[in-house]
Amino acid sequence: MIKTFRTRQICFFYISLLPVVKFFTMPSVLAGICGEDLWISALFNCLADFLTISVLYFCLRCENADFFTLIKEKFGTALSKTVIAFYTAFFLLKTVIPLCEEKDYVELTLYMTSPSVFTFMPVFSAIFFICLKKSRVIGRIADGVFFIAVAGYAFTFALSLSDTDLSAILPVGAHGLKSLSLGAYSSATWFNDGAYFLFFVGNFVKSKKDGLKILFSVALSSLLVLFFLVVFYGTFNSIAFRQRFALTEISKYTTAINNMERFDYIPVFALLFTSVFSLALPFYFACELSARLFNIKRFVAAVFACAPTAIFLIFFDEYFSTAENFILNIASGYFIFFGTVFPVVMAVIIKIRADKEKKYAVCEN
Amino acid sequence: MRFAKIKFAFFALAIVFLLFFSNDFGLIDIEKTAIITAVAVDITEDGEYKVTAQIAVPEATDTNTENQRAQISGKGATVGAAIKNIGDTSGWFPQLCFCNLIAVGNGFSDYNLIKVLDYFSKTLRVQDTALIVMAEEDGEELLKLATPLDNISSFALQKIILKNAGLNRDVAVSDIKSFCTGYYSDAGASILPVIKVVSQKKENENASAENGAGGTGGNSGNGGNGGNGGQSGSGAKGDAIFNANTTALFLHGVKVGELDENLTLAFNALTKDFSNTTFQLKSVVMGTGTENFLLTVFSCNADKKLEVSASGITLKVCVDIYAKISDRNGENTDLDFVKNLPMPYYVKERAEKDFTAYIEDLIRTAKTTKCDFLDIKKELYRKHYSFYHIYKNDYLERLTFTVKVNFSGQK
Repeated sequence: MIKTFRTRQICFFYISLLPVVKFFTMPSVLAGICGEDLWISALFNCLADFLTISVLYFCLRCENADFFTLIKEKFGTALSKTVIAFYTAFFLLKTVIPLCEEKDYVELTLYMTSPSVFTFMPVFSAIFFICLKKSRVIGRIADGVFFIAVAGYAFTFALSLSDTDLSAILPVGAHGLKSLSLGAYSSATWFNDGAYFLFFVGNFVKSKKDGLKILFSVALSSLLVLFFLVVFYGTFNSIAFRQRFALTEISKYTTAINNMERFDYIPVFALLFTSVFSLALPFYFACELSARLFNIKRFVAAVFACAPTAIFLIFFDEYFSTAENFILNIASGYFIFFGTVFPVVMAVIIKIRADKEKKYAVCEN
Repeated sequence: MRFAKIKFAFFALAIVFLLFFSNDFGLIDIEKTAIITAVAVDITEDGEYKVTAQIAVPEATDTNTENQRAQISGKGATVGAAIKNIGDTSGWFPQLCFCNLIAVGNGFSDYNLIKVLDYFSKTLRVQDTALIVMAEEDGEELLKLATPLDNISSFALQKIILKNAGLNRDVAVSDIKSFCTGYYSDAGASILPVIKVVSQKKENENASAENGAGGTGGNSGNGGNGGNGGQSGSGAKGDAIFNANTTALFLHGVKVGELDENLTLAFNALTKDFSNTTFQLKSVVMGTGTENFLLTVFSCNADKKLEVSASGITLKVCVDIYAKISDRNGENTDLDFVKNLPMPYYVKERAEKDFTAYIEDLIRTAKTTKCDFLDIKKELYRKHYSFYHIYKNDYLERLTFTVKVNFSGQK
């Protein structure tokens, strides 16, 4: 089997593409639920993702197919199709919040008047274009945007630190386990990135210490998010929950801005550029899975993946609040189950079955 | 060929994103755009908000500097409605992203100010680094003033509030973010600098009237500046300057007190970068006579430490100031003063005594007004959380304090 990804691309994928979608409204949502303990709630999710990817890697690293192909090989087409259907829904649901928040962000912070919904369509065309491509495009995107994203993170953090009161996150854990759990639960839609690894595992070119490199990248990606949350709360303290678009707000208090105006928009634009590709990820994987599920052409699958969110944006934009409530409060359980629990359980079962098959093979020989 | 196609696609994508993110699809006609440099908010007699916007009107020529500013007012039941009213009545689109100053009128003294300022903190159209000040009288009057400091009064005000490095740190600066952070904190304490208008001509006239009292009756009827009465004390055209050294204290958005110039200075010493600030000592007793001194602060290390136990809560303030004698009105000088080596005992003692008194007054003001502008509750919550629930309701009443100020010259 020809492997689609390289270890480097998986590392770049986690470091550059995944943190940025968590920089828009997630910080304010978490601050509203758990105040200065927002980073602990995020830490719960980061640890869950790290654990999921670790288990997937260690259980399935010797396999030669991705997770969904393995399910088909080990458990048959019926279960495979069911699992694919659930994951298609998983990725379709995962598109809604990040896409709508980026649209709101751009319209509210970069536009003076309320633009037509069609103004956002260039982003949608880019996403659709990416969906038409073969899996290799994900690796290429990761390679392409890595330096832009890293520059954006570095510049944003450097500008933000001058006005950050790091003691704002004290006392640690004062909001109690209940709030922290609720925060972790409500932010599940932005996390559960272990689900992306289902496409990578068994489908990348093996190299020396690749496990270490991948897990280090996942940890670094989590650290970027946690650091952003700490800086965000350190900047805004008691009004953090009101700062809906953290990305624009966080870096504008540096002294140099007073003299040189909003040059912090340079890293903001770099991160916005990166985030377009990050937004495309759930669309892309929903497209990939729907093509497998219905045995349809790539173009039709791309339409299938993009149409629901596009229709929602064009015709049902006024129901965003309802959709947001549904996804943050109800669908989060779905994200946690299919983003963490199911992959871990299935990876362990596949590993046990594979070990047994090996034993039988040895005995028979 | 294939590579060229990919390059072209990437290039096209980059251009589309650039146009999209930079809002080139939504350009606004600049002729219909009002670039607002400052906003004043007052309350009318019928309880409506009156927002006055100082506008820098884009002009094709720059022949008359006065053309570049205009004031337009709008009224509404909320601040947002009043700003919308400005656009509706003028036909200009109010562009607030360059608005760096918000002046609230004195009519809001007994009013929860967050009802006024919350709009500015919620909207993304105004930067929350915009300065907020409280006018001694109407906010509108502040913007209408003509001052020798700048063609546009709001720019002059900003010069007074955000002073350049090397000038005194004698203004307690507040912006949208810091006011709202204070308001929404557990303590609910915020501050705003109070802008007092000083008319130089009026002061001179008063001085000359005092000097010539009794002998210049004929001059009292001089109507040369009689028309200035219509300017509500704003001073004659071009002669108004501002004083922002007084600080208003707000508890849960309502004004509860003021810090005078000395207490504002002490507040800044405890909370901000205080270097290059000058400090006057008047009538320092030196042997048989008295002299005045001017000290310049080179560095100030202020340490506020809260000590909490089951038996009590104590604020320990320790301020270490390294300063130099910049001037004295002595009859003759000597090398000690020039070298500042060491700081003369009577100067040091007097400076420490004065500054200690200011800081003690500052803490007493916090206790009497119940306005925790020193962030004691924040410290209690963050660093002494186990005692937070014991003291959170009456920590200011139970607070004891010690203040130690050390002035030193070169060692």
